[in-house]
Amino acid sequence: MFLKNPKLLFKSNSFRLITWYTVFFVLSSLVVNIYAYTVISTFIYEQSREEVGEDIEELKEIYLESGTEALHTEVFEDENDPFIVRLVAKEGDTALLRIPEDWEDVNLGQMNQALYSQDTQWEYLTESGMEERIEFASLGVSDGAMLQMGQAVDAREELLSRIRKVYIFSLIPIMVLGYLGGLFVADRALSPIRQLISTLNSIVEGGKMDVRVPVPETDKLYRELISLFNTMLDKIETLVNGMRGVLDNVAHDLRTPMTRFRGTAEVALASEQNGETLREALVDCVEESERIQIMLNTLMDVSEAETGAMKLNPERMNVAPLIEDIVDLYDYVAEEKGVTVKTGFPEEIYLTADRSRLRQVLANLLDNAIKYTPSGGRVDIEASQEKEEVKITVKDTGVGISDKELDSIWDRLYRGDKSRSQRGLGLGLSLVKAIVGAHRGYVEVLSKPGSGSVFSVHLPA
Amino acid sequence: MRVLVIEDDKKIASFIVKGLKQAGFAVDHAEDGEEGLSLALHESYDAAVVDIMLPKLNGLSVIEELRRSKVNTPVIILSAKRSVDDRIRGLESGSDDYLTKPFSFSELLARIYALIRRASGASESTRLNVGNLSMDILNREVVRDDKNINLQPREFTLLEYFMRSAGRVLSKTLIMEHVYDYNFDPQTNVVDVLVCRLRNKVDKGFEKKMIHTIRGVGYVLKEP
Repeated sequence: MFLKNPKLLFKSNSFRLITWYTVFFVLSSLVVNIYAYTVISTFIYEQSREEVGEDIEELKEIYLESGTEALHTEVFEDENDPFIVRLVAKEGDTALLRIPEDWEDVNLGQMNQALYSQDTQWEYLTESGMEERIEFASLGVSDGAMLQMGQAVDAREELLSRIRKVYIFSLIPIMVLGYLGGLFVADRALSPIRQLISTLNSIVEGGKMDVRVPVPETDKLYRELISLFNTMLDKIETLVNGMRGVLDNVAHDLRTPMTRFRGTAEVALASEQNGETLREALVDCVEESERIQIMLNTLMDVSEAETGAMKLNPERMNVAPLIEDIVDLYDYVAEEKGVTVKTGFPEEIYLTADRSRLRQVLANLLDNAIKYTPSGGRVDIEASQEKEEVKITVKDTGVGISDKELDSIWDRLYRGDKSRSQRGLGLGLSLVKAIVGAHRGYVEVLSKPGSGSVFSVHLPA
Repeated sequence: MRVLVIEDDKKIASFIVKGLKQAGFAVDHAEDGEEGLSLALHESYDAAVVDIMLPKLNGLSVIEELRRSKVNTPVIILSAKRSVDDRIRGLESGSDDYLTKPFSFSELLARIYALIRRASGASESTRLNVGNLSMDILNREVVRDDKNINLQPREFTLLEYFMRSAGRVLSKTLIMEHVYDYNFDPQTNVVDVLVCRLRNKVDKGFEKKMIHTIRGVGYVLKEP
């Protein structure tokens, strides 16, 4: 992809990493080289100037103590000395000049331009006309005269130029090293991302939902990114599996009523067709279709709540009026059945929950309680605010549930022996449990056959 | 009264159109969003029934476009989705009511009547009469053939609803919504019990019954 579009290459992270690394590496090498060269060249200059520097001081002493004659003797003592020596009088005339034998043609004009100074001054004799490179020192003497001394510095210049060359040519391997280092660093830095990509690929293209990216041990940032990414994958997997489960369950649970539906219609079609039978069959079909619709909705609710796919709109609310509403809703139902409904709870009980879902939970519990309590019985709804939860209990004096059935009552479509004769789909309690579970709460039931049941809902406050 | 139906499913459209015609409405039918929108913009309707999933232009966009063009025809949305979010989005787009598929036709009809009545802005009368049954809403009195009927608040609300929709079938869902302000699937027998109590008070002792059960559909109050 990068090669097709060069612009993308320059914008790519790995290109940027490599470039920055190389530039940084080369620049820092350059700084180190320049520093090293400065130290070395200073040292070499000092070395090569040491002899001339000492000699010129010595000649100055001789001149000051013993005069020009003594200086002359000293200077011309050894004919092989490779030094130019010159004494310039105060008026600018050359009082003394010694030139080594090989340099007879040397042009010393430039030496006249040297300025008077009590410290030794160094200068190149650039216009000497000789092959050798000559450097001379000038030192002012107290009476206004000036001593000058020159020597060939070819060896020194050659050495320095070689050192410079070494440093300049070393830049090439340094750049290569920098680039390779950059490659390595970029590779290391981007490898977690590459792993992420390959995992994603195996999910997107291979459909493997259970793949996870190995969490790197080293870098905190990447570790966080990758564990977050893995958590996200976990959630997606749960959701996808959940939805798959919902589909399976719904398809399975709808088969029975669909069969009844179809059966009714087919029997009606096959029978001797008189208007009244057909009408009956149609009514049955409508009723059955309504049952299927309700079942479908409830099953979706249960499955969504169980798998965490249910969308809740939690709000902070007082649950007391909500319970009053539900009791009011069942007022006539209880009255008709001869069941007394009593409530007992404080005026304010606060919790965070989805209002309409909570209403569904309470309605289902109260519906059940009234349904299974015989005439003359009583249902008590109580609620209390505890430290971290709100507890709502629905207690009835009904038929009760046997130990054998206690575990199954929360199952989808379970209908107890005593409930078969009652209307209902067998979904009420599983919906209660699923919705409460989706709110991170839990349900409990205590029951004794013959003396009633206590259902309690615990919701985080 | 004239109703526009925008629905692409032929069978659903045909039963809605047939049903509405039987109920005495003039009905126009559009099969896609664009056709529906242009009809709604250029003709005048008392109400529109709009499916959400439509070819060419979806139902929500049709409604938004209508509202932008200051056409205030009351609209009922039909949707196969039943999540609360969709309901809210539907209402936000400017529709007036929302019905989830599968729905019962009588419920659709009842909702269309309710919308038209609301949109017409006619002040609701405080005296209702159906046959020999009469209701004085201000004094909360119900009389049938000179016999006073004593009703409790919920029963009164239900009877008022029945009388205002006299002759039309009301589903359990509608009754639940209207009387208890709830909208969830009525798996309970709350509505049956309420209707049963009301029937005992209204029809007991009279030879001709006014409140009838339409099996599989709901309840209806009509002149005996």
